[in-house]
Amino acid sequence: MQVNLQTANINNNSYRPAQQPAFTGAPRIHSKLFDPVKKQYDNLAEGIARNYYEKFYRSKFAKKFIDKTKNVKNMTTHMSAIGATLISGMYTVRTLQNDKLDPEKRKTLALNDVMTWAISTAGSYFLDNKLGDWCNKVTTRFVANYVATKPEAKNIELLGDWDPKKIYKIIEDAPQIAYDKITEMKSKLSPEEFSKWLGKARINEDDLTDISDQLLYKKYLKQKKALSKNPEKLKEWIKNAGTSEEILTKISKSVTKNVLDLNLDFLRDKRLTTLIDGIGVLKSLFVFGMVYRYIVPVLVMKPANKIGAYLHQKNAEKEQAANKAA
Amino acid sequence: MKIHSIQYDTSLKQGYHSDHPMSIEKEYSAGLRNNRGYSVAFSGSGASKKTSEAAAKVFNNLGETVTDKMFRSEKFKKLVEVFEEKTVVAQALVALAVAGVLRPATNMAMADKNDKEDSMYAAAHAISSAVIGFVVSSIVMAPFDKAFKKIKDNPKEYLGARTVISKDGKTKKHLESLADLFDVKEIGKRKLEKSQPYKNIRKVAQMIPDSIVLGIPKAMLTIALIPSILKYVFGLEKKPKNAPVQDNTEKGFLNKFMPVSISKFVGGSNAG
Repeated sequence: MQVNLQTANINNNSYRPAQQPAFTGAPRIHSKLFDPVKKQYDNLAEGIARNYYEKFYRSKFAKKFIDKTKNVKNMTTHMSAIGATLISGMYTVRTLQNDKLDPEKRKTLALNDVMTWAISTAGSYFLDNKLGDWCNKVTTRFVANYVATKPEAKNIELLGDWDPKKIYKIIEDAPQIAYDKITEMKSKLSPEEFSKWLGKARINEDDLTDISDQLLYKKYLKQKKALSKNPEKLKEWIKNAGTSEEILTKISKSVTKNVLDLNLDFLRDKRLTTLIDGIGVLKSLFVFGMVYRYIVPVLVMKPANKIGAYLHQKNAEKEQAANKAA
Repeated sequence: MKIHSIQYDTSLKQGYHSDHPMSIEKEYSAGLRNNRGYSVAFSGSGASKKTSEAAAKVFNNLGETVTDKMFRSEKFKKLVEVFEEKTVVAQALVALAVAGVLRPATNMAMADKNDKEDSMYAAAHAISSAVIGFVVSSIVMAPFDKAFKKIKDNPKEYLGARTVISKDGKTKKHLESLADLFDVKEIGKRKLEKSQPYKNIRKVAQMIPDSIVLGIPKAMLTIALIPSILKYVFGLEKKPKNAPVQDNTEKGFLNKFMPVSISKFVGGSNAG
C-alpha cells in the first residue's frame, strides 16, 4: 500500500533533504499594532454582510428575481453582460454629447460603440455557450488531478481507495458504494461506534436519506426507460415504490451528476467546492474579457474605424462639392 | 481496485435490515425488494448503458500532460479561488491582463507608419484604464469580499431563521429562514452549494456593487484621470489638429523605458 511505502521513506534518513532548516521553537510574536484597524475592518465587513448581503437576500427583489431565474445556469455571464452594457451605453451617450466633435463624426463613433457592444455581447454568449461542455470536461480532469495529489480528498472511509483516473465511474457509482459501505458498517458496529464512523466518513443522518433517494431515483430512471411505452405501469411502479412523481422530481435535482455533486455529496472537501465553482467563473470572465476587450476591439474596431473615416471623408467631399455648386 | 472489492463482495449486500439507518429507503422500497436489487446496475451483466459509458471515460494519462501540471500547481489553485471568492477583483485582473497587456501589445505590433501614433495613444489609454479599474475594484471590493466569505462560511447565521432585537430592546422582529426561497431542506453550506437559486442570487449580490453601482462612476473616474496619467506617466498629450509638432521624448517617466522608435512619436492626431 502506498501509505506504507511513503511511511518507510519518511522514516529513512537518507530521503531527508540535506539542509533541512531546524525549527528553533521560538514562538511567532503577534503584533498588536494593527489590531484596532483589523477590528474596524472586521466590523465593516460584518456591517456589509448584515446590511447589504443579508438584506439583499431577504428583499422582495431577490424573491422575484429567484422566481424568474430558476432555470438560469450561468449568472456570471449575465452579470458581466449587464455591466458591459451599462458602460458601453455610457460611452455612447458621452460620444453623442461631445460638442468638440462634428455631428457626423459623433454619429459614426456612437455607431461604432454600439456595434462593438453588440458584436462583443453576441460573441461572448456564443463562445461561453460553446465552451460549456469543454469546461465540464476540464473541471472533471482538474478534480481528478486534485484528488490524485490529495488522497485524503477521496473519502476512502466511505468510497474506498478509488482511482482518480476513473473519476467518471466514481461519479456514477458513488451512491451505491456509499450505500453498501453504510450497510456493512451498520451491521458490524454498535450504534455508538456507527455514529462515530459516520463522522469519519464525513456524513450525517440527513445524508443517509439523500443516498437512499439517489438509489431510488436511479431505479426509477431504469423503470422509466423500460416502461416508456406503458405509462400506466410506470405510475403503478411509482405507487408501489411508495413515492410520487413530485418527490422524484425533487430528488432529481439533488442526484450526483458531476464532479461538483460528487464533492458535495461524498468527498466533502471545502476547498474543492470553491475551486470547482471558480473554474466556471474563470471561464466566463476570461471569455468575456477576451471578446469584449481584445477580439472585437482589435479585429472589429479597426476595420470599423477605417470604414467610418472613409464615410466621413466621402460626406465631406459631397458637402464641399455642393457648396461649390451653390 | 478497492471499488471493485466493495462492488462484487456479495457479503456487503445484506438486504435491508429492519433497523436500517435509511428510514426513507424502507418507506420507498416497500415494493422494490421484489424487483431487481439495487446492485444490479453496478454488477456486470445488468450494467446500464450510461454506467458503461462512464466507465469507458478514463483519464489514462492523468498527471502527464502540461495541463495536469498546471492544475496541480498551488499558484493555479490560488488563482481559481480568487475567481470564485473575489469575482469582481478577478474580473478587473482579466481586464488588466487583456486590455492592459495583450491588446496594447497587439495594437502596437499591428500598427503601420500612419497609425503608429494612434496605436501608441490607444495603448497608453487601455493600460491606464485597466490599471485604474483594477486598483479601484480591489480597494472598494475588499470589505465586500470579506463579508461575502463570512456568509459563505456560516450561512445559517445570516440566512437562517433568527430574531432581531432593536437597539433599545423594545421591539423584536422575527426573520424567516430562506430555505424555501433557495429550494433547500434547510440552510447549510452543502445544501446551498447545490441550490441554483442561491448560486444565482449570490453571484448577483457579489457583482452588483462593482458592475452596476460602481461601473459608471468608475468609468467616469477613468475618463477624468486618463489625461493626467497619459501626460505625467506616459508623456502623451492630445493636441488639437494642425498643432505645431513637439518632441515628447522628455516627458513622462515611462518614456525612459521605451524604445526610441516608440518614444519619439509625436502627438496631434484624432486618436481616441
